[in-house]
Amino acid sequence: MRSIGYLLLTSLKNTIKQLRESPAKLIMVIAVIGFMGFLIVLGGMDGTDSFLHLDMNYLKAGYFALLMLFLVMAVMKGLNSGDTFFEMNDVNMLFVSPVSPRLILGYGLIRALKTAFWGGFFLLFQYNNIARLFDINYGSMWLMLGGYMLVIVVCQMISLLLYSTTNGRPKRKRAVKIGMVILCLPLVLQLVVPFLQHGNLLGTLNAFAYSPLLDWFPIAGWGAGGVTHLLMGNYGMALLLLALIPIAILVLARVVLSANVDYYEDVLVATETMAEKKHAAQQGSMNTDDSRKKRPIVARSGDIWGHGARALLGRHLREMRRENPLLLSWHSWLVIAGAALIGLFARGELGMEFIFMILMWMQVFLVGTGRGLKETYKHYLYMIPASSTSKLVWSNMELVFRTFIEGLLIFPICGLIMGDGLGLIALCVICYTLFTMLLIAINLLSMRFTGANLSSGLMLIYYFIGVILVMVPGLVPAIMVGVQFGSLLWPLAILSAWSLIAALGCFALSRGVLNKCDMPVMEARK
Amino acid sequence: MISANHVTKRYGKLVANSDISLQVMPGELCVLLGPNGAGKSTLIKSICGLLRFDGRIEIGGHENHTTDAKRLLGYVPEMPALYPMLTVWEHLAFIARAYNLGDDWTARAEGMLDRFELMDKRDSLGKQLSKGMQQKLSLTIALLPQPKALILDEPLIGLDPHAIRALKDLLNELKAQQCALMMSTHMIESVEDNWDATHIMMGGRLARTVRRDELSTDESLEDVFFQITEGDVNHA
Repeated sequence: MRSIGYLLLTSLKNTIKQLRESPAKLIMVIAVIGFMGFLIVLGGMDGTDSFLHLDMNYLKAGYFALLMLFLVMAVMKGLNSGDTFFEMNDVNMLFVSPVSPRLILGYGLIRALKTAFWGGFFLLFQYNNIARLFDINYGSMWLMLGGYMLVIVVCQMISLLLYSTTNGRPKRKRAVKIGMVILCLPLVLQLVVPFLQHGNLLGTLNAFAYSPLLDWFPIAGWGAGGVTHLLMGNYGMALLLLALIPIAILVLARVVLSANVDYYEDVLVATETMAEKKHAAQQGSMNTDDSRKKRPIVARSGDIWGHGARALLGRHLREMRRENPLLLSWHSWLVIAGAALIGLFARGELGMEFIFMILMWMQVFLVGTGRGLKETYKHYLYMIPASSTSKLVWSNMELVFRTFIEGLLIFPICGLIMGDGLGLIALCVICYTLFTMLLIAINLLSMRFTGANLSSGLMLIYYFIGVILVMVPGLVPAIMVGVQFGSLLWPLAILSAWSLIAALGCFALSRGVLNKCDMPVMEARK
Repeated sequence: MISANHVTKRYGKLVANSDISLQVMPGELCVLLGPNGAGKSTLIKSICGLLRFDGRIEIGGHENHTTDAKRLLGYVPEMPALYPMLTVWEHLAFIARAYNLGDDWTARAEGMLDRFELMDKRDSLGKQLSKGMQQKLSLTIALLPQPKALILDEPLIGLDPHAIRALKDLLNELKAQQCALMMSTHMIESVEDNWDATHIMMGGRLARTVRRDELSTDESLEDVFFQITEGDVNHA
């Protein structure tokens, strides 16, 4: 026990000491604390800015969907590569030491809680939006974060247990998958049957949010139901549901330790796999689908489009097609489906600008998911004999192309649902694509002026400042014209023109960026 | 062919390379030796134009960031960085197109795949290759544009004895073709036969430069290395 306590406390102490030596990290910590303080102040404002007062059952349904996503991911990980809350240093030093496996598992769970806390931190950032919708206070957000952390810990336990009991046993894997389908079947029926009977999607979703099935669905339902009942003041029900989670942790720990006392072997494999992935990422070998077990079909292995810097786009298109049989990634299809769903909900109440603004906001964050940015982590980009700007432009064209395809699907679908004209739809597609181009250009510009020699957190701050500064001269006249004429056509045209001009300006200013910055190294996340 | 003049690389307060000057002539194998953290990989990355630095680096008389310099230079990184969703052949096709190699590259590529026993993996994806195969493909990629200067960062790690011999033979051939070679390694015995100049690095500095003809008959490169790294650096 003393060794584990020493390890935890010393690590904590050294982390704090390290802040003194790393001003960038210290600034980040201060910024995070400042932000939390700001939210507390905001929370103390008596909820006067809350205006919708939606039913808390809607919050429960959304929270349940989030937790369910992590539960399904944990099960899938458990059935495939396994998940781990240990690092290679734990494997190499703790596992070979005479410390009890129970204590080591406990240590692993504490680490998992820490990871879950930072992973769930994004919930606090949603406070303002959620508070406006549901009239909850800041303390409620912490309760939601607590529930999320507990569920994540259980998910990791489930993943570990599934991996150690099903690894190399296809029949057991199949049984688990069938079990999951059976478990989810009532939820699916609850959604599908009323919809098929009445054809009323909104009514079906509404009834689903009120369903008691959500409360009793293992892990995700207990977490979502427990926290929202607590917020609604149903303390008995809340305590009952929340008590099930620590019981689940104890039962799972018991099963892991008793059924498979030597869980080290399974953890070792999963930890080594994870460590290899991190190492590969640090060396530039990263790919979103790198971890996929399934072998993609190599239907055609041959020449690639383009010469010189254009070959970068040719290569990206080949990779894109190979990774996504449906041309776009599952994430893109999710965005398209989500936009269509919002269109259904917002029809008659809000216009296309609502969807457009959400997509633009998301794009600010998603622009980093393109292959162009990842390309900067590999030496090929720097060594290809072509100009720095042309290499960067062509290596980012895949994202522009992808956004254009997304736009071609999203806006006509939403336009059809909301009854908008062709002109507006076309302008939305153009503006959405040009805005993505602008974001790429701002990204390159921030790289050019910082030399990419910053922590990723500070780099992100520079990028956001850049986005705000560059967008303001286009947004202000667009909003003014929109208010004046009450139409979305002119603001979109202005925004498109500004995005194009500003993007070209940023590209020009970021000339020679590859010669002015160090090849970045992927940070290994703990 | 490779010329570094007063190269200094700093990471904040840490000086990874301090005022390093060296030259590698055509047909010469220059070895970078040094303990871990001596600054070998940093110097190599600076020469390849992957890092910013103070000083001047030229490849074939061209500043290393220019396209003329890049056309002359090949680089084999310590860890092979491949594209997981491209096949072996597509990696080569991509390089051929990016470097505008014309149409005669296919025969050369097939020859190299044959040499490194990768022909049967031609249609395998990058992520399906073992570590050793990835390293071999990384070498093939660097060699495809027929560089006049080749830089190899710990190229022997992960290679089986057969591939190590193939690489040694290849280095000899490249030397004969007047290619300038620079290689960092911890495996001194692997370069004992064919090195021309060795730069021993310590603490980000060049502790000593040794040329093969400077060694006495009973002295080996290993002896010199241990004299420098375990002895008094100031005598250098």
